Amino acid sequence: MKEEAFTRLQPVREEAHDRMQQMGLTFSRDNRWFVLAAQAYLMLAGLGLVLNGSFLSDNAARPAFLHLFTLGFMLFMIYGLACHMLPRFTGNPIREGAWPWLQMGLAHCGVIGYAVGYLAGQHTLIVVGAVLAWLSLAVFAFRIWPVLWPAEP
Amino acid sequence: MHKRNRLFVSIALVYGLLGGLIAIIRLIDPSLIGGNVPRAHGHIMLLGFILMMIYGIALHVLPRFGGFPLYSEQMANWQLYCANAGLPLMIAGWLGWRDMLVMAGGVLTYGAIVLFGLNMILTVRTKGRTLPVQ
Repeated sequence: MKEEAFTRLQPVREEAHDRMQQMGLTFSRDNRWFVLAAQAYLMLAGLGLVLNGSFLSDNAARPAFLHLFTLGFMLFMIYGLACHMLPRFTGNPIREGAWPWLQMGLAHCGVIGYAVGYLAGQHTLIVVGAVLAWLSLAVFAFRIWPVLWPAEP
Repeated sequence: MHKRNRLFVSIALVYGLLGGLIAIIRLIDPSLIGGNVPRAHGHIMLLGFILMMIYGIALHVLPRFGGFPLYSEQMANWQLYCANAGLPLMIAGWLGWRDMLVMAGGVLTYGAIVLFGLNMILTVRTKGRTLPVQ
């Protein structure tokens, strides 16, 4: 009797599941890429443990691996999760279109430029990488601000 | 989303931009900003950006995931005040070589951490609420 009831309800449950996905419970493409990239940077940062024995080694590579973890992993996770969750928590839309991809491009170029700059001893590359990473944070703030504080109608 | 939690996230963004900016300025010319800039940068990013972001989002989601309302709104409000009084003092202490300011800021920041930790322990609890069977 119980099993029959469950069998009859199955199509309704599947429909409810599909509707939840259509409502946007799952990651959008840009946020999916933010979270995936974060895992790649985590694995790259982890190489610091293998090569130097610590994230906070005493050699010149210290800022490179440290920032692969903080900028690469932590910041990208925040980007992906915050851009996914905050619009749902507040009910306000986030700036989409080219903005997330600009934010992502700046962040990738920034992290890679910064890390490679330290590993190669190129000060200019370090500064350019840092500026690009900062600009990605500025784009993120620009996208998130109206989600938190929408304009009064 | 509660206004206090939105404030936490907004302040996190401001600290993130500020922390990045002072690091960039130091990279370009170390003589432009005095004091212990690397330490200030590290703490602005960790305590200001990451932790405030976690505060704002955790205060919103953990009561919902845990199944109980937030134990104390007042504790969360005081957490906001302490965290945002403590960190500027710490930053001023490092940039101005004033150990007393760093210490006072550290105490306030730790106060915010304890308020958050206790509030979350008393909110999430070890067992979720059992809903009655329909």
